[in-house]
Amino acid sequence: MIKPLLHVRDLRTVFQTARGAVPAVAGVSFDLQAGETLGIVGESGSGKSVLGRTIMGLVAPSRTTAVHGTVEYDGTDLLQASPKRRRALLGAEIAMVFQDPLSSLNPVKRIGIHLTETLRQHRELSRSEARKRAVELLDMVRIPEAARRFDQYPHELSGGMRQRVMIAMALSCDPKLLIADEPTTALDVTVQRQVLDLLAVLCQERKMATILISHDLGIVSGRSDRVAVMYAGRIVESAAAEDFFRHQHHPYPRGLLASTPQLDSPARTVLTTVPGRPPDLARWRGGCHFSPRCPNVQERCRQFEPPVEQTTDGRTLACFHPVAPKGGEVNGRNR
Amino acid sequence: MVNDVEAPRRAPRPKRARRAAGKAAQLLAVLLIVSFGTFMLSALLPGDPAVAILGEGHPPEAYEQVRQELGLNDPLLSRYVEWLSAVIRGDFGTSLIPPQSEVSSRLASAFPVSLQLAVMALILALVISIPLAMVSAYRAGGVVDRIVSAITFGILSVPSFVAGLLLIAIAVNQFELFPRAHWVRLTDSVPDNLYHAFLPVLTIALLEIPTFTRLLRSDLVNTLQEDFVLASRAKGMPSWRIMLFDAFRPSSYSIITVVGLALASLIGSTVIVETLFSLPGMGSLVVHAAGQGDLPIVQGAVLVIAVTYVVINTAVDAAYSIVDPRIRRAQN
Repeated sequence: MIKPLLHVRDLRTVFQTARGAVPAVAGVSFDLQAGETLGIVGESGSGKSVLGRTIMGLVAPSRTTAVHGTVEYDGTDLLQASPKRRRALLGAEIAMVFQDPLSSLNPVKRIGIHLTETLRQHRELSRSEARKRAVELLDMVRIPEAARRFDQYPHELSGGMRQRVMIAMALSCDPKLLIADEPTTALDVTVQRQVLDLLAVLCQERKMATILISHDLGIVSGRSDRVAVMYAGRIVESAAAEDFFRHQHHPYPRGLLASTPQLDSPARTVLTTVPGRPPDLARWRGGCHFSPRCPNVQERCRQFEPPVEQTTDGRTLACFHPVAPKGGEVNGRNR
Repeated sequence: MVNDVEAPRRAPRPKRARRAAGKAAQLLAVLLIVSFGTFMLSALLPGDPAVAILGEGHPPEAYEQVRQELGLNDPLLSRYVEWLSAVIRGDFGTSLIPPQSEVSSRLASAFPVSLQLAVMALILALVISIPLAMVSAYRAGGVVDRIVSAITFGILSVPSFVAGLLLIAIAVNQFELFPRAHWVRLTDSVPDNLYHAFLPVLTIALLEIPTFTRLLRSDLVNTLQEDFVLASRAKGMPSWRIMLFDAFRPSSYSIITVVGLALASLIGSTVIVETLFSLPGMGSLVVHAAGQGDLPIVQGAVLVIAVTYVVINTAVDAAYSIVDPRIRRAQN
């Protein structure tokens, strides 16, 4: 077995709030091989963004925040590493693309500076070398007139262009691992696709391992090797993308896929939804977090939390009453 | 290959020039209004300049003659025009009360003292406040933050005459580190001047430090929650770099405003400190002259202070667009 690039075990991030402890990430484990793409899907509040930030070490343990578990990157435990060691990895080997490209770029800093400061932080480059490299990077993410954009400010660029800048910034030091946290949620649908395709091409070219976080299964499908679905801070089901879209054992991802709008369904088809709301984690009193919304709920589900288990076909699953495949049913489709 | 990189496109020249001309016209209009207001002081204030010159019990002919000489019997508007044209030539008239001297020379000796005090006090206050605000904001709610907050609140509650007296008591009387009650002009000896200016400057600075620190701290705390700070941390930037190069500039808008206002108001309002340290600044000049009814001096000083206000405010407006590129675009 090849040693994974990223090895996450039983990761927990708990926020102390006025209303009680909120386990935003509640025991997440997965491995990511070099060059592999993992799609993490979940609705708002499922803990997927906190998971990404915890892996990056951006969620600092404090009086109100506790982080437990292991995040091992290429042999280094990121949670135990010294701040200096971690800083040397962040931006250089592990990079992140954020959701909102306007707020993630400093409004008073020129586009180019965002790139050159990263380059010069991690590489021995002179000012002019860094500038040259930055313009090449802007060119690489297909920003027209890269040299002119270098001296512009973030507000002078469109949303899609800004996200390209974010991508150029993330890729500036050739990272081996990229965490893309809802990279296109803030963009128009037409621009979404361009940015996602660009990201996919660049990741493939560089054999970069990627964690693609999204609330939209359609975005993840066709762009990931593995898919993991998060609910209430846990990965309730994960599988190779092909297997996952062929059949989902857990009722939650089943519900998610069933509620994806289909262009070829007849007019006025009522959209299926997953009834109910995500649970209030601060007030949770035990049992499967999905049990209040689950169509197959049994008494045991209300009392015990199902453990995450490996299944025979290489999935992980946290469900007492998984749905058995009916043979050949395909729910997933590419957007 | 660096040659490929073209310069950023600037706004076309004529547009900029027109905007600058517009600003200048605006400034001129404000200055005119200010000068008229200052001039009207003479009409609004109680007391008669002729009486101030002659003293009580003067003969009526002498009174009429003085009023004639001073031009007090002319219509208001023509007196204003005459006064303004003299002021523009640098002639503020002569003081009414002996020793009679040119108002302009009195202003010219007092203004630099006040300006120097104000500028140095603000620089000192900023030099102390900015690092304090940064260490406080770095761990908001932490031990350092709470200590700084307690100290600044403490200073805030000490009036300047108490702070000044305390400084004099400790640094002058007790340890004899500094001289008291003496002013050496900057043009006479720079080190001597700085030595003598230190205590009054510190007294004024102490007054401003709490405001500056608390204001900048809270703006920094807000900025540090922004996504771009998180993005910078995700790039492996050290905390001090993020504080200096990411958070500071977007957090500086309100402190620029406050520093500008403080500079303008300090020039005329450091009377207490000037009195404590016997400094020949604008504050004591105005207060003294006002007490004696020496109208030309009051008029001249008020005009100088008012013009300083207007000029500084214009400078602050310009500073915004330097600090925040988004304002630059809004103006274009």
